[in-house]
Amino acid sequence: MSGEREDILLQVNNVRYKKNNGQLYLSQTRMGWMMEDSDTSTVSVLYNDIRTQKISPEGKPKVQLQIVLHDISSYTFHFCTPEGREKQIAERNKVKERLSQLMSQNRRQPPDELMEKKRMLDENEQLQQLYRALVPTSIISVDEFWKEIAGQYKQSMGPQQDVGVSGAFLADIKPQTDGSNGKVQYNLTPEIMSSVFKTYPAVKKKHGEYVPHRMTESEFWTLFFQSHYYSVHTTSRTENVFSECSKYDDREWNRDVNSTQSDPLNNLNDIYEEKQLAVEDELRVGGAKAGSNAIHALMIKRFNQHNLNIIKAQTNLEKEKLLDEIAAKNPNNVPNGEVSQEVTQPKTKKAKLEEKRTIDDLENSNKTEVSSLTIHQRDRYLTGPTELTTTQSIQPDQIMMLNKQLTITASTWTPSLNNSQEPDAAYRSLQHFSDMCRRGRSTIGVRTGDQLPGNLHKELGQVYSSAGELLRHFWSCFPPRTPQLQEKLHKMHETLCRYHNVTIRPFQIYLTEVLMINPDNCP
Amino acid sequence: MILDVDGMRVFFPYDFIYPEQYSYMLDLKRALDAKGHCLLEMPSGTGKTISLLSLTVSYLLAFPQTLSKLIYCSRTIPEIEKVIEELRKLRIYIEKETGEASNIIGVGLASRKHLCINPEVSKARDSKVIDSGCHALTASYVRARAQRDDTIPQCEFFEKFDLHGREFPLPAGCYNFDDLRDFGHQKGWCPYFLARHAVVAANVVVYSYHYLLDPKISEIVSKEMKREACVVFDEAHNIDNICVDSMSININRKILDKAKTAITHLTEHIQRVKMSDSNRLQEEYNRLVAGLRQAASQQDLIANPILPKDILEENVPGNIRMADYFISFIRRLVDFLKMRLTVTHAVQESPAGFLKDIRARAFIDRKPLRFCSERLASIVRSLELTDVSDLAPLVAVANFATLVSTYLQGFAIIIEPFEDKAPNIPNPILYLRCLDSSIAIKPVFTKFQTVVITSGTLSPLDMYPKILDFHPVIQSSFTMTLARPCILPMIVTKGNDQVSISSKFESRDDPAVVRNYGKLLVEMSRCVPDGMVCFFTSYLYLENVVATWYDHGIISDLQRHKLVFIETQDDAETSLALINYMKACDRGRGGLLLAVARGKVSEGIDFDHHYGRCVIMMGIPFMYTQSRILKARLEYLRDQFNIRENDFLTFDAMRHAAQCVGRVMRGKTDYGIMLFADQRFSRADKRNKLPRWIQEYLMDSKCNLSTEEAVQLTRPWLRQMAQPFTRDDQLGVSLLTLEQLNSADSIAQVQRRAQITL
Repeated sequence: MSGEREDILLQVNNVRYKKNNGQLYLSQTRMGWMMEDSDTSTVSVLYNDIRTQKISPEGKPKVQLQIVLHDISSYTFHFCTPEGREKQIAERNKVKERLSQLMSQNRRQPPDELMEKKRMLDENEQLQQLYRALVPTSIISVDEFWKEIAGQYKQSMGPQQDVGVSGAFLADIKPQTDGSNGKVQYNLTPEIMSSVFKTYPAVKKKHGEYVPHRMTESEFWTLFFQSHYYSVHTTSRTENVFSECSKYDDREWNRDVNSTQSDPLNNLNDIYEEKQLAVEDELRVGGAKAGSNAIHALMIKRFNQHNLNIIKAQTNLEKEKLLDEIAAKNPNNVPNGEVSQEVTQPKTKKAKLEEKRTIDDLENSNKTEVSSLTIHQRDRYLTGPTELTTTQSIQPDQIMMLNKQLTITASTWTPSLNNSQEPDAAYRSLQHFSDMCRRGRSTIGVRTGDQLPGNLHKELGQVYSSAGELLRHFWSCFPPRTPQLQEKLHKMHETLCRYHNVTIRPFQIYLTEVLMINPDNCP
Repeated sequence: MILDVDGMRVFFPYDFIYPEQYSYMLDLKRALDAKGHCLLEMPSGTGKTISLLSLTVSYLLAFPQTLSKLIYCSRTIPEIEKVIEELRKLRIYIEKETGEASNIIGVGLASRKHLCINPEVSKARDSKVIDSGCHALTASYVRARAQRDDTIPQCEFFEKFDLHGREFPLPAGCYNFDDLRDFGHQKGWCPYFLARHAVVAANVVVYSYHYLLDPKISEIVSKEMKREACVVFDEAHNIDNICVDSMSININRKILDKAKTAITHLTEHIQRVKMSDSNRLQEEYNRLVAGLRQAASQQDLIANPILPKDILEENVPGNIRMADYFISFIRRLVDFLKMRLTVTHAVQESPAGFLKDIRARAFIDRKPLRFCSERLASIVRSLELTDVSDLAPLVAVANFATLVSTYLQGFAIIIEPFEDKAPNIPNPILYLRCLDSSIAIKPVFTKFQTVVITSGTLSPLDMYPKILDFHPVIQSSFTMTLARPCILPMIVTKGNDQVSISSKFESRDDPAVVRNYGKLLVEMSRCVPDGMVCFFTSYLYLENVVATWYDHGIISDLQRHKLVFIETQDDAETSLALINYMKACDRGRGGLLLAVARGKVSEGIDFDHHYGRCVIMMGIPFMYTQSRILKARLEYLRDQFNIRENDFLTFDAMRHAAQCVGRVMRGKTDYGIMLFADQRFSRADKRNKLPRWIQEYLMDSKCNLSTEEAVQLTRPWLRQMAQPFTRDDQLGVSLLTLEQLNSADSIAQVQRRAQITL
């Protein structure tokens, strides 16, 4: 079947698949089933393709194991050792345990993490060079590279954006029916749970209160799926766990609705001018929603609320971060609360109007970029250098005198070039100079960097930067006060030695060779 | 730049100009020269406002004798503020160019709600509360009383304004609502009355439609405007409905009950006044004998809805001159109306029939009815009542009486026992509907020399002169000259399964249609970036469709691509949804807003740039054709103006569709998809009623698409639009410099390009 032979880690005979007897085996990367009297495996599944494994319930007559793949196809194996049921179950459990071990071993790294790393390397050329210089030559291990060096890059890249909550996270929970007994199964992942918590803080609070003191995790989520959060149609508020939540949500909602009044441009109540002494209000019957279906209206309100909460979940995270940052910057200052919005409102409103008003392409936007001056120490800038006292000692008339003298000297000066230097000395120095020039062309007096061929130049730069990076890490360990630092120091020292051996020495040799053999290589 | 428009120097505060802006100015100039009215359609987002302001202000400067004032009416408060900001920019530019201080005064005017700075009164958020709070502090008799009695509170801002402000002309400049409030704070003057006072002297006045069209308000605010003014109705595509609404009154049982209570209050007051100061009523009586003109010279608290000249000259009929008689008269009127409301089937009658009925059954003549609202105003003045908001129902009844007895033509009275949507809840309403939109706007046309009606969507242009009954000297429609096809109008007529989609009554609840609408939305939300807006024909339909979509899992499909927000019938909730929709767009999550055509979102909110890359019209937004009010109006239009019912209905539906769809464009750097999803849109009678600038890009090949084909067209177009777009691409085609406007040849060329010939 496969080209290379694999070690069989576990083999079980007497396993039926599609009513055929055969043997089940587990290898390092796959599981397979082979029919009796045949030497090709009929079933061969990579562990990576397996989503989950299921076993038959205790009471069932058949002892079975089901493998469900990512594409929802499945294989069912029936253990039927003639030695009896006990043995069958034991065998099944052995397979099950081994399989789960192997599956977790073989589980790939989440691909998005890899992609993330690749993206980072693509975006940072310098980092990529470092990676090339250090990792494939096994100067540093891959993990160390990402931990030590890339970590710093990440920080320097600025704050990271948080991943928001997907709009359809509730819709993505696809309930599965069990087929026969009408059970509905919901599959929850930690991501979905955290999405729910982020979107509905009230549910998170409830979860904290109820789990695990008053009910189990699964009971809680069962109730959640029965509540209005999941099925928007639900109108009954009898469910006791979440009724408080809905009250909380209603309160939040009302607050948000009231907050719209601070937006002067989008508040639909405000933007239309009302008629004076109008009697329109009196004409309404029984509330504003006359004529519309109450259930539908409630549903629409819930949709709006749900999407609002998703946006809010993101804002909340950002706000927390911002507050943390502010607190970190000035730990002494208490953040002065919410700046009253009333004060700032007219300005932002004006800015918004301005934005709405301007038509960009009619304006001539050839404004020159003005670089702004950043003054770190204002005092120093403003005071400037102190005046010298000596300037004051010269009298104005003296200055005039000196000035006059200078003018006279300058006007009467005649250059006498013949007397400036001895002709012999001049000749000698010129000869000496040209000699130096001839010699210096190949070795000294000229900056080698400019004259290296392109690839060599680049290589040198790479060696330089990676050496610099390593040295920086090395020196950052000083003074080595803690044992961790000492350990790191040793490691860095080793790394440096290795780097010297692996990269610098060959490069040096290469360089001398190139330059010795082919000195005319340089233009 | 300084342009030369037909021999006049026009200050234009930008360095470049769109060809259509220049042509717009040329046409406007001609209308001003001819002192006639005009009708101009120019796409939204092509700088209509600044062209208008530039030309008229330059005209004001050049020919102060022929034109002394610009009255700019707009629909929403942000819109008004935007105009003032534009004017501010223009003013700064003029000062820079001429090198001397400009004496242009621009003032925005709005209700007390936006301008009041009295700390006590402005606390309230409801505009009615603020209005009556202001009345309670500033009415003339309150102030007279306050002079005798120190304990009566007054508004210090108003007092100060009254003392110093009236003689003091407002310094030249542009005053937004915020500026007015700041100025008021600074001087200690009431900004509202300051603005109302300044309106008379200002060169440019910006306020909402009601101040001119609603006879009750215009009588107070706009009475002193001179004839040499140019009135501009911006976003005027809906002007006929505003006219009709401003002359219509609806009355139900609740209002009558409240009117009854108000009458009781009045009676008590009268008794009290009789005890304490019987002279006052006698004085009033004498005034009324002398004639209404004198009676009205006092402060206007409640204005008459309509005041024909002859009423002013006449005496108030004897039987309502005495306060007691008037009270019993109006009580009889209210009782009669109450009696009329007890119906089990819908009734429609003409004002003449109603008058005959009231005469036969309640012995009320036509003449005293005409004076009803003026008489009520007079008694309120005499009794020195302050709380006007309580009187509102009674005022409505009085206005009803005056209107019904004044106009025998162009009105209808309809009494319905219940609403159509809720046939089980008895809720009789008496509608006095104005059917003729020209009645309200007629005074404006006759009073002012130039009236400009302009909007992004006025097609078909010849409808407006008919229904508003005026003769424009100029009427033209401009296109949007584009360097790249930045609008993509499409008509989707069928789903992927070839089932035609339509919102017509027979098929709209068909599961296949609803599913296809949903699929269309999902497909579009998959390929359109950022914001998407989808308009439904009615709120009920929106609700039903959303419910069906939820059951079919379409909503969760949508949520996978965008955050979904839905307009509700509650304004505050809708505002919240709208704000969050914009937030979602800002954050790059992408949003989808489900809204209703004719709703508040469709009228007042712009979805420019990333707030709206695609607008989908789900169906044609016809009016509710079973409504008796609409039927009466259609009948009237047919009889009086020769407009067929179907034509008017289609016209109205298409202008709303165009309005919804036009929200997506703002400027030539913007781009957006306009998707009409109804099989009926592809018919010629519907298509031809779209504005020309949309029709131009609506080729036959895009008129009969399926969902899949629409997506096919969308993808490459979006990619093309996302490329960088620079000024050089536009220059010469859709953007002009001053040099390009120098010769007569080029001007002719520009005009040709901006005018569409279809």
